[in-house]
Amino acid sequence: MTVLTRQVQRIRGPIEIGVMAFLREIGAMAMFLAATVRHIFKAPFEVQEMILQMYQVGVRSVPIVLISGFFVGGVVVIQFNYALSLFGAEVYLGGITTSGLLREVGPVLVAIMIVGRVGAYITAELATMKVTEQVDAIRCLGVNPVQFLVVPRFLAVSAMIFMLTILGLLVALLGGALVGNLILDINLSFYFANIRKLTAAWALFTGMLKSILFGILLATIACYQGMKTEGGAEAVGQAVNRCLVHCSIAVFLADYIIASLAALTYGLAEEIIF
Amino acid sequence: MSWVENKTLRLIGRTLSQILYLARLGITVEGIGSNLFRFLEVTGGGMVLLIQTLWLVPRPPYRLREILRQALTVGWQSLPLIVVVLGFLGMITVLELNFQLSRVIHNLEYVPGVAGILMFREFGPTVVAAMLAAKVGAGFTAEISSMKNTEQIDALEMLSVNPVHYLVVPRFIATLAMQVALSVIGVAVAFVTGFLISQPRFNFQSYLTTMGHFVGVEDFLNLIAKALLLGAVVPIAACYYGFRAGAGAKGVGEATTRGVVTSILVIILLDFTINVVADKILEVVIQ
Repeated sequence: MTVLTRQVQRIRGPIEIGVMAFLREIGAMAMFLAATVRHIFKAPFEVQEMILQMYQVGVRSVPIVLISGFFVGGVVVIQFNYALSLFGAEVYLGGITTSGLLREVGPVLVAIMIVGRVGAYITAELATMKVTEQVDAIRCLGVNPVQFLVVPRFLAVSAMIFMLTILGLLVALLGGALVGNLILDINLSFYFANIRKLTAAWALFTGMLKSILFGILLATIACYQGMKTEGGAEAVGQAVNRCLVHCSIAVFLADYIIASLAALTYGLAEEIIF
Repeated sequence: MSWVENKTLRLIGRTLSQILYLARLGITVEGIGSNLFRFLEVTGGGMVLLIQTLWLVPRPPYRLREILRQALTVGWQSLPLIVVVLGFLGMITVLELNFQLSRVIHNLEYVPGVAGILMFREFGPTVVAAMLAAKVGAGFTAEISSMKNTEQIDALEMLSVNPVHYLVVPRFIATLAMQVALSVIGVAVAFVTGFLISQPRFNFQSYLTTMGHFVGVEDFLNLIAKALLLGAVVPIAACYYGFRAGAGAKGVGEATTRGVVTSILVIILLDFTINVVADKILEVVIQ
C-alpha cells in the first residue's frame, strides 16, 4: 500500500504541473483574444497594415491553396470510389465526394496549409520583433502594440482563411470531378446527377462555420505565440514550432467538436432547411 | 458632413489603388518567368539532394548514435502530437461516415470497415507525414539554416566531412523509420478512438470483425509503402531549404516557412500520384 502511495505521489507532481501549465496557457490565450477583440473597435484603425497583411496572408497563399485543393479533391474521389465500389454503390460517388469535401476535408485541408504558410510567418515576424525589442519601442512611442501589430494580423488571417477556404473548396470540387472523369472514367453527368440529392445547404454551412472558427483559432494562436516570445533567436524557432503544433491540434480538436455537434443536429437542421 | 465623405472616399480610393498595385505583382511576364525558374531550381535541387542522400546512405562511417538521437527527437517527441491528432481524426472519420453511409446504403453496420479502409489507405500516412512536416521539418530547417549562418557547415567541409553525409543522412534514416512507426501507432490510436465513439452500436468483437472483412494485408502494405515514400519528403525538403537559407534571423524564418509549405505540398502531390498509379496497377491486375 505504501509502495502504491509513493508511486502515486511520484507521478502526481508532474501531472499536476502539466495540467496547470495547460490551463494557464488556455487562460492566457483567452485573455489575449479578449484584449485583441476589445481593440478591434477602437480608433485608430490600421487599415493600411491590415491590407498589407491580407496580401501577405491571402494573395500569396492562393497558388498553394489552388494546387493542393485540386489534388486533394482527386485523392478523395479515388478513395471514395474504392470504398463505395465495395458496396456496389458507385452511383453515389459524386454526392458523397462533394458532401465530404464541403463538410470535412476542404476546410481542414486549407487550415493545415495556412498553418504551415501563415502561422509560421506571423509567429516568426512577431517573435523577431519582440526579441529585438521593437515591440517595446512601439510601446515607448505611446502606441499600443496589440492595436498596432496584433489586430491587423488577426483580422487579416480570420478573413483570409474564410475566403481561401471558399476558393479551395471550388477547386477541390473541380479536381474531384476532373480526376473522376479523366482517371476513373466516370461520366460527368453521372457524377453530377447525385450531388443535388446528397449535398444539403447545411453541408456548406458546416464547412463555412468550421473555416471561420479555424481562422479565429489560428490567428489567436499565431499572434499569441509570437507576442509571448522571450529570449534570443533560438526562442523564435521554438515559438514557430509551438505555433505549428498547437495550431494543428486546435484544428483537429475544433473539427471534432463541430463534427459531433453536427452529428447531433443534422437531422433537425435538414428538416428545417428542406 | 462633407469631410466624412471625403475621408471615407480617400480611404476607399487608397485601398483600391493598393489592392490593384499589389494584385499586379506576379501576374506580369517577369513574375511568371521568375516563378517558373524558381520552381525548376527547387525541384532540381531537391532531386539532387535526394539522390546524394540515397547514394550516401549505405556508405561508412555509420553514425548510429546520431541516428538514434534524431530518432528520439522525431519519434518520441512527436508521439503526443500524433496520438492527439490521429485520435481526433479517428473520431471525426467515424462521425462523418455515420452521416454519409446512413444516406447512401441506409446501414451503419459497415462504418468500421470503411473507416478502416480510409484510415489505412489514406489518412493514416498522409496526416502523420503532414504533422511531421510541421513538428519535425521546421526544426530540421531551423537547425541546419542556423548552422549555415554561423558557418558551421563550412567548418564541416574544412574538416573534409561531407555535410550531407553528416547532417542529412541520419535525419533521413531516422525520419523514414519513425514515419513508419508513427503511422502504425497513429492508425492504431484512430482505431481505438473510432471504436469508442461508435460505442453503443458495436462491441469490440463485432467492430474488429467488420473491420477485418474490409481491411486486408494489402491495405497494411499500402500503409507501410506510403509511409516510406511520404516519409522521405520531410527530411529532404526541410534540409534542402536549410542549406539554401539566406542570411540572418529573417533568412532562417523564411526558410522554415518555405520548408514546411513545400513539404506539405509535395506530400499531397506524391500521395495523389501514388493513388493514381496504385489504381492503374489494380486495374491491370484485375484484367
